[in-house]
Amino acid sequence: MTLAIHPDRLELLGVCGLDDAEPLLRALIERPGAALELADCAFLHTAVIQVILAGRPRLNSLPRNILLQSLLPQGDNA
Amino acid sequence: MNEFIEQFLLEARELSAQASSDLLALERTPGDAGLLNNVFRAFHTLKGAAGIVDFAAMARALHAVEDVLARARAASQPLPGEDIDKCLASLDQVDAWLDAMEAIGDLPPHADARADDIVRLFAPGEHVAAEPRNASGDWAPDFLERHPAHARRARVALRYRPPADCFYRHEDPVDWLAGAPGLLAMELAPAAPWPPLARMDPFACNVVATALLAASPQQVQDFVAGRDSDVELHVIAGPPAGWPARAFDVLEVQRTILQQTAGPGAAGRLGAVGRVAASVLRGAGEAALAQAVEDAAAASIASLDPAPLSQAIDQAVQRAGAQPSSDEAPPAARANAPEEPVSRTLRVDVARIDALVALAGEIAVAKNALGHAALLARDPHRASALPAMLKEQHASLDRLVRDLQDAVVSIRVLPLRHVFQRFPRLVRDMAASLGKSVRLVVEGEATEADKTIVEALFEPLLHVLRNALDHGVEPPAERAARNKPAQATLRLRASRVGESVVVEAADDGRGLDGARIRAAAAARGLGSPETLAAMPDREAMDLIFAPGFSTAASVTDVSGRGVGMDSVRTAVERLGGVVTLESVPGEGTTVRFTLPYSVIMTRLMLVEAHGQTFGVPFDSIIETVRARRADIAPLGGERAIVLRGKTVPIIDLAGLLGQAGAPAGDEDANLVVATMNGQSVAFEVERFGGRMDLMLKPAEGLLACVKGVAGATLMGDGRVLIVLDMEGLLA
Repeated sequence: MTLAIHPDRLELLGVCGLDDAEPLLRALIERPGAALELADCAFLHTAVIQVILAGRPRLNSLPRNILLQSLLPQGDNA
Repeated sequence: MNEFIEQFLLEARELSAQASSDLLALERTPGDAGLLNNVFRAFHTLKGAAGIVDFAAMARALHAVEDVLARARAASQPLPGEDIDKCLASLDQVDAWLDAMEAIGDLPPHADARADDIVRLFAPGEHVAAEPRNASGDWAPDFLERHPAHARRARVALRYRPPADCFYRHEDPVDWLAGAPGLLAMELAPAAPWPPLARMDPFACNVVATALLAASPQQVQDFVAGRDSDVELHVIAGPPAGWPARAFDVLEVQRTILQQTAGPGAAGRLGAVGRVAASVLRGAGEAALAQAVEDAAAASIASLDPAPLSQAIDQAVQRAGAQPSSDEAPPAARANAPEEPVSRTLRVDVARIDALVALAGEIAVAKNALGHAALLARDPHRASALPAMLKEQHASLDRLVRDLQDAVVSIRVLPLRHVFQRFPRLVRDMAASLGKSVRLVVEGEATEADKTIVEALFEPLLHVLRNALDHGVEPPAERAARNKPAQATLRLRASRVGESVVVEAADDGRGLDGARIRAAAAARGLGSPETLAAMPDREAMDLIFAPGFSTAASVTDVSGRGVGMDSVRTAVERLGGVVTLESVPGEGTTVRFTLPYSVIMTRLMLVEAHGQTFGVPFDSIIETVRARRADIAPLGGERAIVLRGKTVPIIDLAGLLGQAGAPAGDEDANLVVATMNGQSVAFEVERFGGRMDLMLKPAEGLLACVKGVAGATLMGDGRVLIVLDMEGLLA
């Protein structure tokens, strides 16, 4: 389980594989407006990235991986 | 040109030639299912190759052809003649595209409109689908524009549309692309607009990934192997067409040098940088830019400030980069560029490479033996054995080097098939346009000759065949009247005779008419009627090679465009060959090219002028003469001598080369007599030297700008030997 659900925000941790896409999608549907924390996330599967791109949650922090940073929506949410 | 496109050109040309010859064979035996299969396969592979280099327009056009072939194949019906014509027409377009790509090193412009024409040709009623056109790499320039920081390094833009179910196959597109060679940047976009989250299927992949890569197209191609159908590659264009590949690099280095020009020797460095940059630009055909750089260099040297020169070089690079076909470049400079793109790649039989490897081994052994001899030389007791040993080793090295030269030369040889295979198609079309029925028989196409010769033979041969078809072969009615078979026969024959390659084009037409040639020659002022009448037939027939001669009564579509057989002779002579002609009235004409097998080995005669040794190619020398001063007569401001009843002007070689060498007192004069455009000229030299065989490469780089120099080589004692181009010297 690399998706942590906090009362005010969601957090992705460590290596986030294909299995994390569906829980993340459900969490975003259930908690509209929730922010996402990515600072401690080391890897994102394409399926997870596309949920983030589609849902466009507010990103409180970005992963340290520069490539992943470049793929995520920035600026308007930061 | 990048290797990606290079490889594509190589394969596509072979496939196109294969398809063309199979189509022609299919035309003769329409029901042959095997041939139809071959044609289909060639088009199919060609289409695939076009897809790999992101040439969507060509792939689309070939898809239309493939459809027609597939239908005929499925119905087991012969391909109708008109479809064969259409297939050939589409191959013409493919060849034109390939030529354009070879010239500009990138996908040709306006290809989509041409592709539409072909699609329409095969499906006149159907509406041309516009959709695939948007996929033809339009995304790449925009993408590149969004990443200006990477523009310089990016070689390939890649777009990957993973299949929607790829996650189920344990694929992770982003992770895969992250491992791409030379990844500079990546972008993700939705393939279809993102649905509301409530309706989103997290397991369906809906992204399109684009990436900029700094790797070579070949590396990228290897990387995407297996995902080809989902990946589009766009090769990013390099420096402007027409510039030598290294020109940019050299200019770049000059700019770097300019940053360190402070301190002692600054003026010298500025001068050197200016000269190199100007020569590079001149070599690239940018005479105006070269002049600007030279002016700036003078300014920089005067003020010891590199800024003007640095700016001038920057401007040259930018200007040429911005408008590759700059109008400001003088046309004269442009004209130096080769007219026909020359293929840069060569397919070589592995056996020949193996022979080279074996030779390399033997040479290593010989080198070791020399090392042993060097040890002996140090030992005073055994040094007496040295001369014999060295002599022996020189002999064996001599043999090995000769073998090596032969082996290397043989790598450059190509079978004449490369040029011959283009003719069946051309002859068929030309004959059809003239309403004549002609059979082309090709013999000896496996005969080999140097690549340069094989590639340069196409134009002159085409010209000879055109002439044969147009003027030699009689119209069907005339042939019937002469009891000749209605179908004429053209023979294209090649054979190896000693060190020469003989290529013949023979027709069984009406032959040359001596009287008509004499009349035409007289009308064009090539000789007085009396001289012409006295000429033997053989010599009169040779007149068709005279500049400005053409016997065609009317200008036809096929030949007679104002370029006569003289261009054929010029072209063959440029290759070091001769053209001869045989004709029997009523029976036909044979035009024979006798060409050297290899152009690389040049036999040189060494001469001395003003104390320096020069090489003169033997084939430009008629004779060497030692003449008494008394026999040399002043002629105008010059000198001349009468040799075999002809007055030959004498030119002092040292003077011609800009050396102040007054001809010596009363010793005999040493003359090298050469012929230039039919005119004999004697060059006075100080001394005749020995002979020497040499692998003469065309001069390149800075030397290429010097007129009169054919190349350079090193002599045994380490001196540089300049090889003179006698015609160029007087030009």
